[in-house]
Amino acid sequence: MNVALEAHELRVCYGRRTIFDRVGLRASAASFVALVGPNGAGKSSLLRVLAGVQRPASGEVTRPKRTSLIVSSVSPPADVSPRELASYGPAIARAWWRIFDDENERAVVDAALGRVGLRERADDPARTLSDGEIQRAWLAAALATSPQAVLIDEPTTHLDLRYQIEVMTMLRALARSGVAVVAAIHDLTLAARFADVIALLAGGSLRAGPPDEVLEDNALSAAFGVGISTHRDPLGGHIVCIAR
Amino acid sequence: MAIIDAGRPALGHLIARRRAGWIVGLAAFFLLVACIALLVGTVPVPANAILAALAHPSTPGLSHAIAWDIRLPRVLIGACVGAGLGIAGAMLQALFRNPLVDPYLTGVSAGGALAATIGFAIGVSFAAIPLAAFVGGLACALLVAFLGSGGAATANLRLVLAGVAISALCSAAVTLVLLRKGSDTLTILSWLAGGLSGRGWNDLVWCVLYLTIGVVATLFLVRALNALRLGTTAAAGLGLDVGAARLQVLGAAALLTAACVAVSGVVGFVGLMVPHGVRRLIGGDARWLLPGSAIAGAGLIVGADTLARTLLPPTEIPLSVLLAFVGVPFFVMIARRPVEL
Repeated sequence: MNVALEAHELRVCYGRRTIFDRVGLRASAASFVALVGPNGAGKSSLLRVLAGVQRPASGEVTRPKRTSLIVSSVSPPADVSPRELASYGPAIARAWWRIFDDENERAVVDAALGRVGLRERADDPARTLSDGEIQRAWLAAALATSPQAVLIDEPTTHLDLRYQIEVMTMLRALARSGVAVVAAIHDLTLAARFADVIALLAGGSLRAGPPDEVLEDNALSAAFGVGISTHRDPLGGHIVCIAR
Repeated sequence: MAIIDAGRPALGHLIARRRAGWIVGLAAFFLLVACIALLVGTVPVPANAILAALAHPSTPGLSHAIAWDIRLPRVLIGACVGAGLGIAGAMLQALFRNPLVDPYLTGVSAGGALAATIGFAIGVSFAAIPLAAFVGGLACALLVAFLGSGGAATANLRLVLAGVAISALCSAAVTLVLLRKGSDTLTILSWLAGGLSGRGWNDLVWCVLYLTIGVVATLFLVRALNALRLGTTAAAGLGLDVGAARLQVLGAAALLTAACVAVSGVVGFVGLMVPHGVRRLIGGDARWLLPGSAIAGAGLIVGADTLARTLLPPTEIPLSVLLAFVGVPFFVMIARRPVEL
């Protein structure tokens, strides 16, 4: 398998508190990794470190040249339209002396908006968009950078069921197009259904593998501090996690 | 929130039109104010005499001298100072993600004033004063940014406190320099008080030169300013080198401020009020906010300067005094309600 993103022996500390230590993760191109774990385990920190936005206390990360981090829990300014949001990445990547965008750049932005189905609403300000559309706009912002790896923090939080499925479907399609996708997801069942790899970050360490391996009752119960049992969805066959 | 798509007008188009409309409106306001500023003054000259003098630059006379040597350069300098401070304020507010920030509060003005005072005191030529002001302003801005950084939740408060503290330190140092210097104290003091009285073409040339460099630098920073509106993590996540971008924005803002401080002394509150007002009208997108702030700042300074020299004849009220009377209530007002940058 073609490894796109690889991290070794990562340690992140805030002051004297160590959030996690000796964490390693590999994400191959075209795979969808769901990062799960309790609040405060360091999912957001790990994504920032993987993206190179935050420096780890120790350890190293190998990432593709074009890696985008999307913090989708943050709302964009109310007057920003999806087209503007999607244009920021290409604008930053442009040579510094070129003040204006060109035909090519506009086409890339347009294609990204098309892929998330936002072409109709491309020029509407964020305040008029639904939460689902905002998430799709963030996704378009990542797509417009023509990424080799996309890291997304909580793309499904605050979304209702329909939008959750929609966003996860898009992320999986993005992975299938050859991009390494790592997304922090709270909903274990959702993660199990869509992701190729589950990375469970809890208690300062990380365990990654296929959903069947990682999502098992004892490990999950210990990680979240609450009894969790796993079942099989009689229709799809994927894992369903229920807290007791 | 569900939005029904059928028959909806193109919202983006409407917004762009509205923004352009406001820019045109602000430009019209500026032109109106500039015309009034040319036509009124302490020396009563009929409006048509001024217009005639402006139309025929080669005919000498009193109205010619007033129009060409006093009022026109003063209006142009006022426009430059207002535009520069407006842009610098808008950039600093976006950079620090703090609506209470302006060149004055971040210590850029005070640092520039201190460096310029030292320059005047040791007899540096006027051409180099903006450069001295730039170095001083940038040094103070960096110091304030450093002192005010970290600790996300309290960063805004710390930044403003650091700015106030550094500004106070600079003012104290200015006083010390003036005391040691002795001779030219009055000239330097009247310059420091902030205002445009007695400024001429020579000042304008240097101000324009430095402003142009600052504005050109700003053009390259527009995309970084817009990306920074998303927050530093999101901007970095899309590939922005946040550290470098912040330094560049700070540098450009310091240069713009320095160009203004060198000709007009410390004129507070313009960099605060103008971007704020303009943001309320046309939003925080730097592509619109920066030109809007430039035009509105020019209008505000030219208008306030006109009032400053005509309100209490023959006394000229220092520009900064007049602006403080408007600026302080404004500051209190925006400190009370939240605004999006």
